[in-house]
Amino acid sequence: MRVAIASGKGGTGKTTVSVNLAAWWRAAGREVLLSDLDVEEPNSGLFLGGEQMAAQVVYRKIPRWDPHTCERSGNCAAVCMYNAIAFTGKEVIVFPELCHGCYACSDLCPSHSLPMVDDRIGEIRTYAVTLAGGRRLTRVEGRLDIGREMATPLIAETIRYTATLEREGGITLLDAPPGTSCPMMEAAKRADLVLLVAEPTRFGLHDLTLAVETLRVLEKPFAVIVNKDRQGVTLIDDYCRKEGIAIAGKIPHLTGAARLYAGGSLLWDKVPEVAEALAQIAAYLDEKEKEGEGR
Amino acid sequence: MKQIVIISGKGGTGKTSLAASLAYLARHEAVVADCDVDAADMHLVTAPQRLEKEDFFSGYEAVIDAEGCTGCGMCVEVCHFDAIVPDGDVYRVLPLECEGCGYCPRICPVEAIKMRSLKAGEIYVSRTRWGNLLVHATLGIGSDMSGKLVTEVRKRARRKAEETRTPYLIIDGSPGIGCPVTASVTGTDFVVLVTEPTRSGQHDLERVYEVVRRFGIPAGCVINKADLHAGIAAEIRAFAEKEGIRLLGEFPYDDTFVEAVNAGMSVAEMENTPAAGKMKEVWEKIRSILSP
Repeated sequence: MRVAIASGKGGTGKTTVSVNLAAWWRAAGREVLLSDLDVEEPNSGLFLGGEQMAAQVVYRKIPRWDPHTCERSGNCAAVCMYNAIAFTGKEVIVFPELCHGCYACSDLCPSHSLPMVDDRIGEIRTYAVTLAGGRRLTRVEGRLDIGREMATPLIAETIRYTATLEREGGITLLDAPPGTSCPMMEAAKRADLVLLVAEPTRFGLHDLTLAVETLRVLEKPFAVIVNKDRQGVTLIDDYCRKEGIAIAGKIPHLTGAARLYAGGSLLWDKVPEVAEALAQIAAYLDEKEKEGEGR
Repeated sequence: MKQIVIISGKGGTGKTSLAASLAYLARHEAVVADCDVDAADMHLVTAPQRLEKEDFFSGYEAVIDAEGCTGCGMCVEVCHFDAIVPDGDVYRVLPLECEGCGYCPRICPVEAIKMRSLKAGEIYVSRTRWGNLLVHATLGIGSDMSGKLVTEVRKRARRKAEETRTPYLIIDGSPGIGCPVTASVTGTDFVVLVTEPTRSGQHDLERVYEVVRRFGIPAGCVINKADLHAGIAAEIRAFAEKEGIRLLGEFPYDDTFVEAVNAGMSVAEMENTPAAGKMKEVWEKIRSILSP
């Protein structure tokens, strides 16, 4: 089963849940693969580290102008819907950050003067992580080059690569990018189930409702994890009850846990309250997996 | 008019709380733009009264006319986004996959494909309960136009500030380092980086600052939850000093930010808290840095 861990709002604990659930579950004997798709700010490695086993550069395709064969028809600029190509009458200028890689300019060029070429956008790295207790798990990480703006193609490529490492009966956790737009959707689309991490603040609730709307459009099954849960603050519970959304687990707000997190520590083996919440979440996912097999 | 953008790299560091506090302190001296269009939260503390609303159209999607389609499949061949799938004897477009590139209608031999322009969101001009003009937006579900929407929000906010001769434009930016961030930062006069002394906060600060540095815009830094980890806080201060980033203020790790949000208030309005006083100092520092 493939589970995406996402959130409308940043900083709610998406990465905390991803890395600790991966470690807790692996330590409990389950086959776990973790894939960090927050390619703009990949942070799972700060907590899990690991030995780098492989790295591959990710390219996308963009057109490159060949001035020698170009007949100056201007067709390329006319067909591009993204204004990624300008034609001055003498020269063709390509703006890579605006290009979506649709190939229209290249394929439709009468003189074949805009071949599609590789354009580096980032890297996918694979790490072998050794956990306390000795078990190992594999962590994959997409990392967008600084200065590159298009995260979504790299996310798609990271998921494709992750899929090649998946094993029958194993569980894959995708640490998704925050928000509700393209990058988050790209991760959610490729998952069997999405866990939305929310914190009990008005910002947290508002951004959760946006994420829920998005997942409903995608027709993805999902559940909520309440992080930094506070006694007596029930705004996330109230919303979930009203909307009929399952809460897969609650992680309490603990200053001790926040300090450990700050220093880059894992929590699953140090904070009993967190371990308890992770067990709850794992049990919820186990049940969903069984339901899926039963269908 | 001076444009100040607040960004954070990492989410949840207090970016919007800071932006709302600066808006409260500046009042009529600042127009506010909520450019975190993916998760626009500014309205939750500013309780704005809506003055104007406008649909934002951007991008296209292909639509196949099932009557006209002969099922030749040429569109499927050229589509690089796997957005066209069989539907009985003909084909249809998956709207969430279509990038609106317009390639398929150009090659359809029977002209059965049309491009339809898309409503990508809505833009509002409102007045906050403190009197500032606020330009904000909602992004349509599944739209990949967040960068363009940020640009539109900023354009309108700038126009409002110029029309009303308002001296400051305060921009609540987007998290991350991608397209919406670049759109938030480009052309501003000062960048406020909000961070926290955690390994994630530090890592994200360094990545997003690299983007800011390339724009050559002067930057200041606010450390939230400063006492959460003394060692990392010291490393962040050292990084700021080395890079010439002005330290604008530090906030302790306490419940003031959460309590303010849940009361629908800005931190600067939380009377008798240390955080409220510090917000004032941050705003005064920014003003003095930007004064000619």
